[in-house]
Amino acid sequence: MIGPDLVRARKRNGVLALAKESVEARARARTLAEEVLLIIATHVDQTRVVLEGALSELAMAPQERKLAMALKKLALDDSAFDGNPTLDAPALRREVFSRAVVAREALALGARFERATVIAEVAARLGVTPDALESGLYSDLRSAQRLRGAPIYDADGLLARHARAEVQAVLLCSVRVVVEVRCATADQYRALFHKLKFRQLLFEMSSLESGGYRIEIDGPYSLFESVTKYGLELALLLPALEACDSVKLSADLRWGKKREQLRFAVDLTRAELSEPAPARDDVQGLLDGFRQGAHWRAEPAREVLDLPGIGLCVPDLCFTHQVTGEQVLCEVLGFWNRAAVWRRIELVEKGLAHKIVFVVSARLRVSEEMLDGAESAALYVYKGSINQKALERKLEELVAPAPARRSKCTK
Amino acid sequence: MNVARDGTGIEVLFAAGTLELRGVLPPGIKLTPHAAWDARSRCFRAPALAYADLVRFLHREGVAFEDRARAYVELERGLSVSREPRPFQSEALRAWREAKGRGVVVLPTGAGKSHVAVLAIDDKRRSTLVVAPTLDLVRQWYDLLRTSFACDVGVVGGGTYDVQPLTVTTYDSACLHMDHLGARFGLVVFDECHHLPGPSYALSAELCLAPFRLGLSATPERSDGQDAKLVRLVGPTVYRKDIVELSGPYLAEYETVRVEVDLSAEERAEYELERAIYLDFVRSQGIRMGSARGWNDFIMRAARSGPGQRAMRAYRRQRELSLGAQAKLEHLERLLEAHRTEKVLIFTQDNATAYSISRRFLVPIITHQTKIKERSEILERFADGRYRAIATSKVLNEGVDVPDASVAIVISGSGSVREHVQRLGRILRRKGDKFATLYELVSRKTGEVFTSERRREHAAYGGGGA
Repeated sequence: MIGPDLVRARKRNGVLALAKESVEARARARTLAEEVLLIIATHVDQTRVVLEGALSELAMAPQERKLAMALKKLALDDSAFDGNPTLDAPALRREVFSRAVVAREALALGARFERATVIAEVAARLGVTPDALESGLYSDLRSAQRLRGAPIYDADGLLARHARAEVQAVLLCSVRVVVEVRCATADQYRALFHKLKFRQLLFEMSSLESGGYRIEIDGPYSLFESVTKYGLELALLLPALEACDSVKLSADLRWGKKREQLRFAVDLTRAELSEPAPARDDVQGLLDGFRQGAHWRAEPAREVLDLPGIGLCVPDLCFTHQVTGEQVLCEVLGFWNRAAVWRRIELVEKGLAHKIVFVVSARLRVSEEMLDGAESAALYVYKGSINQKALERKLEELVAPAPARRSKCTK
Repeated sequence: MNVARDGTGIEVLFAAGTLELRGVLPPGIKLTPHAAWDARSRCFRAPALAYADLVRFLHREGVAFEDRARAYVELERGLSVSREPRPFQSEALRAWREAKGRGVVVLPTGAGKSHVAVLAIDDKRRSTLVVAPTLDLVRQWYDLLRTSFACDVGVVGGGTYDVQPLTVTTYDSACLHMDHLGARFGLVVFDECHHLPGPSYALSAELCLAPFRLGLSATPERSDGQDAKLVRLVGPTVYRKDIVELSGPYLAEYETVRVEVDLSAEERAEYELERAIYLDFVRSQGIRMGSARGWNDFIMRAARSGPGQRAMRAYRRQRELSLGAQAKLEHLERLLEAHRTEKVLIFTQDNATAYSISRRFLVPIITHQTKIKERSEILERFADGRYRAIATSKVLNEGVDVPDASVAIVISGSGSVREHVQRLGRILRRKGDKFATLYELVSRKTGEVFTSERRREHAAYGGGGA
């Protein structure tokens, strides 16, 4: 990651925008990236201080300074260094400094401290040359580390890394982020919400007319003060956002030393959408199996079901009754952990309004009775593999008239 | 959950540095302004800092509640080593108690601020977190608490994560971990609490529910005026004594000696050349370096052009020449020989100079790069006399206890009054009839003379400031 001080951005009318590169500037950036990588590649086995010295000689125009420094920082971060294991530097220093104290205390009146004598005496005692002692004395410092491996990417890889790092550096200064996100698969949404939860971020979500969701993201304390405390978490969320198909991100910033209030917006939608990831085997099996079904048609679900303050779930499939058009969602939890099942049951008990079947393996040791009588949800527990007929029965039960169903919801 | 007869009652939970309040409130009771409704999680939420006020409010209003936030415990035992406090330490403790266990105690370095904290921990007997600015201080607090309370002491920071009812951490680690540690301590001691009001460090106080808070500092005032925030984050200043009030009976007598040295002919020529390049650029751009925005203007404009970048290099070089003048190192050699039987601390403005002094004079060095084990060993050898001098840049500025040191040599430093007073404080801890001397080496006819004048504006140096 790079710091906000290395971001090439412009402020205008309260908006921070990343600098746009002309074709020439892009070509020049590529040349700089190539040069940085070349210098690093030709300094394997040299010390860090020598390498950094060589990198500081990189010729650049004043306006390229931030870019060059950022490229150097990222490439150095991705290089492998190690210390000098042959000498125990702290032990050498102990010997030398202790001997120097004795030598200084023994000075006759008017005599001068003889550094070379101390070094020679200690070197002789340790059985090394004075030069070896001198070079080993501070060999454990960061500046003395040796380069063992250059980054494994090429110039384009470094520039891609830099593009992400600039957005992340801006997000470090963010107090709140809003994303408009659209994913092709439930797994993409799940990965995003899992990451939000893992980073202890809070969010408010609403559906977009065009499909997808608008998610406002910040942290618990943001309610009282706009703080950049969650900036790192928001920056680390970026790879999960980039994995979605379409993301428009905007952020409120406190920028620079003066913490100026600015807005930032970036479109992370991929120019070329990759092939949608194939559905998991169990989900794909249901899609295929219900293709020939007489009563129910299955298609990938597009909804995220959120119950603020309680939790959310991301269904995999949406079943539509061929005759009545009624819809029932389905989340295939398979062999996930039991806690995930309890969380779904809690969602239902706390008022999840959609009709949904949770498909769970018997290995998780939960009973279908847990949701017996729930108005809108059912558990289907399967042994071995998912039985299409049994699932269909669950779907039928959920769309059956209410009197046919029990009314108690127990855990 | 505690529920009243009318079915009302709430739970108070600690969640990521905030308090969540869930449940049913009695009619007519409003949680605002103590807490705000959080639609994201459908509950009321308050900063953890508001815990004491909130709990008092709930009690006062007779709201049935279950406190599931508080996770701190009462200490099983108090002090195992009884040491008679000095009169001003007892007065400080009394003042803090009268302020309901929230406030800042201001005492000069070497006067025994940490003993006031030990007395406060013993007084409240609640799980306590001590927050200190450096790993050296963490180590020192660890030793002090372990010997004072004869129990295990936890450490969070420097690669260690061990939480105990008595725990020590750094400000950086407190910021990182208060989200999940903030409910586990009833008392928090902020050592060198003038660091606390910075925007990120302040959050470590906001995200912690400790009802009792003690701030310690010799110099709580900040040039940015943010010290006013300490009242909310810790409490008001409840007790204050200055160096001049305690010098003699409780602190060592001292003198400060400013030594002006000349640049060599080559250094002078290069200095004047580089300074001219720097000043020409400043003048050509109409930058007023004396103004509040001067430095920022210079940085900004220097980055925009070739001549600007050259001017920045020139600025750095002329500064380097004045701060690290050859004559200073020659004078340092004389001082090290003159004080070779005493314990000497050598302070520099930057690590590179400290390392070059260590290499040239073969004296041990402590910087942020020094590993804890070696740091402890150096301080131990310094304490028992096997080492006579330590070179350092800034990490020994604050708090680290080097009781026998009687000579400080400031090779270079910033214009900060606080830094200069703290460096003096390092040699003032009283021991027998110790007399302390601080030497400040300044390159004559350079910008450093002005820097030196700025940092000496304190009563301790006979200057005007407090």
